[in-house]
Amino acid sequence: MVVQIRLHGSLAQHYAGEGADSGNGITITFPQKKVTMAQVFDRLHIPEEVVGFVAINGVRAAKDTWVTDEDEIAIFPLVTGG
Amino acid sequence: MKLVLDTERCTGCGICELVCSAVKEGVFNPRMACLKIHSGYRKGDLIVRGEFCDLCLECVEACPTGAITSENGSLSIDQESCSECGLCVDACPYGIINLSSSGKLLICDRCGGSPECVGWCPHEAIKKEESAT
Amino acid sequence: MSYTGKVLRVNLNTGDVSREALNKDWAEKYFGGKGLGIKYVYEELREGIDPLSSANKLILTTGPFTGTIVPCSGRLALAAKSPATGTMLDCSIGGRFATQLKFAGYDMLIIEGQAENPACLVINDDKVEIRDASYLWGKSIFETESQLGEELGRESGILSIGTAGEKLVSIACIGTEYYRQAARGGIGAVMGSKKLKAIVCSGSKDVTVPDMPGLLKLVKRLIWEDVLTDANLGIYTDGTPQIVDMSNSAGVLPTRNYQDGVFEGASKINAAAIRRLKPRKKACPACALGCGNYIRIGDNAVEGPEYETLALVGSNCGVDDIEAIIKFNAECDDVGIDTISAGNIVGFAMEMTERGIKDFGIRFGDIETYLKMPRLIGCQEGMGEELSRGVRYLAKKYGGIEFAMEVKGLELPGYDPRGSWSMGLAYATAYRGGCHMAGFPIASEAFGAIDPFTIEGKAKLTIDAQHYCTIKFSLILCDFWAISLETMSELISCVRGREISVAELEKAAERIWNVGRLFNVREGFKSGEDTLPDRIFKDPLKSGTPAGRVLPRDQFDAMLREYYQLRGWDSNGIPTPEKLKELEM
Repeated sequence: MVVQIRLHGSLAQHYAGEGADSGNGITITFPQKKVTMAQVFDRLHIPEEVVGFVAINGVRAAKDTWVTDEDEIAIFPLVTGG
Repeated sequence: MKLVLDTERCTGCGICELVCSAVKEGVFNPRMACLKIHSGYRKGDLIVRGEFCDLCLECVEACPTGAITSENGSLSIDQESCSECGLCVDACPYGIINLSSSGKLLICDRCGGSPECVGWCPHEAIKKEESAT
Repeated sequence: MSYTGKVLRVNLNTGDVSREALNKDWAEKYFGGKGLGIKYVYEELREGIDPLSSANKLILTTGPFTGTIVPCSGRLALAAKSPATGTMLDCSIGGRFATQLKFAGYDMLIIEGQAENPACLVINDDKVEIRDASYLWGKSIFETESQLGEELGRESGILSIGTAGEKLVSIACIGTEYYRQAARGGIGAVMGSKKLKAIVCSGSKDVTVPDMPGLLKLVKRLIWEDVLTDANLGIYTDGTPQIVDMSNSAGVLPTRNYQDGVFEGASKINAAAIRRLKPRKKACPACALGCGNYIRIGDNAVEGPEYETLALVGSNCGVDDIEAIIKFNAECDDVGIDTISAGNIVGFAMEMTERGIKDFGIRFGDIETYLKMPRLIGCQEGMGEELSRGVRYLAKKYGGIEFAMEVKGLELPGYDPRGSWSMGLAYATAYRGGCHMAGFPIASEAFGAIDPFTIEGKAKLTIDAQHYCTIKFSLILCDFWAISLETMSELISCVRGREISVAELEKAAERIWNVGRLFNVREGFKSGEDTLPDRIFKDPLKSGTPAGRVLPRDQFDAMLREYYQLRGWDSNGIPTPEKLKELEM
């Protein structure tokens, strides 16, 4: 299965490499038919504690939601105010 | 050693000025710092400028007692010889020499080779450039 | 030491300038900034005053960290009675005024009375003058600052009002360094009612701490291990615009007067859109991050737009044109009005027009008319005069009360409570009205791991969030450093030279919160005002994560009941004598 990931905020700089921003997607392939978000974080070397929330296909997803083929995942860092 | 401000990186936080006065005089007072950062808006445009000791040596020339000397690319101060006349303060074109309230002469001496302002800048906006002299 | 121990009091009626000792007992219990400011307001104002009369006071407060190298400490708290809501009001502004006030030797500046002619207060260490400002009256904030910077030195801290403040517009703000504001609740109108056009401050004195080597060591470690981290750096790399995509994904981005929470144009107004404009970064004094995005497009420049502006002035008005938003933002900053309330009011006017309830001559996405709004509202020209009174007034007069998005008369900011039930409670219980800065529980809820669509645990979550912000803004630390209470305790203990525990900080936070509540109770506010607009209870959102959802009224009521209970307030939301005794009030 193939998924598109967008890393937002400061996550983009650290985990997608220099020059990546939330305008660029990262494409990841998994041999499994479905994976957990934990497996996605693992693949990207993102520690769970820096993650605020995750949206899958434009909808906020609980961290134990399954990720399947062609899903678009947005990963947001933890924030304070606005 | 020259100190140069990268005006694109400088955010104007002034942490450099605070650490300078803190280390040199044990207080927080940007006016007592041996560098000046200007970061502000003029007619709405952002102007960023840094003033550091560039070894013009006006202070050395102005000093009547020889308390200020220049060697190995930085100034050094002999506080004992300083008569607190203040001529160096007036001579400095950047206004970054100060006489503290305790009579101590505050001049940029590059902190003995490892400038605090360089080390503390959160965005590495102050750079050291080793000069030929 | 970390406090100067001196308060500067200026009476604009009599022209008297006096200095007095800072109330040490209050400083111990309320720290500074928000807490100490509202305590002074509570004690010095009698009940029932007209906030635009000479009986109101404008109290500007620094904190024990101000002027030191404690990171993210360079902000000023302002407090008064709000002309927009009649509640206790406290605001916050960045820029250099706070540190200049501290370097001038003052912990606090209290402004009383009203000047007969337009005045400018000029503070230079011990020298304080009330100067004539007639030549500045009528000038915009940008012009005023430019003029005063020229006359009195560009390194000074300058606070000024624009035409909106002069005309006592209920959404008038105070501006500094051109592009920073204290904006909510009509704080600018308080200054305008005093005929105070500007305050200029410059200081040359030392700020000291009991253990300088200890503080330097602590702060050096904290800057690199605790400030410049992933959790905080987003505010440097992207600024607050990073929240646009978050809100849109969580379905809470106010769209077309809160008719929905997902905006089809979000990608045109998000952090990536801002980054394409190549902002230059700007920080407040002592801030290791630097959230300010200075952007210039043609004739318009802003430090921003901030998330709130992108939401209320962008998606909430159905506008996805970033240049138009920047222009609207710049006009608001110059004429001197709050962008949150302005965007909310314009969105309301758009919906009223489209529904045929009242024709304000503007529809969602109508950029040409929309761009005229800041000047019309700020200068109270044409329909701007009515619009400037806020959505509560407009709804009362014309209808549309179900979708007048305000609480206690303060227009709601950029998070839809139907997609974040804890934010609903936060808006309903903040003492200054519909506010997102009094407590930000959404960070760990819709933007975090906690389920947004339940009331379970939300009362406690909201209370903890409110206490966190309260103590932070009293020490004073900026919102954007996600500092823990333990680290706050470490810092304040070092700066004060005595152990101040997390428990003491939490107690102070609760004490401060109760001062705000008591003020409102004294002014006659009832628990019925701790509520939300009907739309939140009745109109389901259409898109994204919270599609089909409302915040059900009975759930909200239960959440509020639990909130009062946990706070030790009675069923009318009034702090009980036992609670006040416990808090040593």
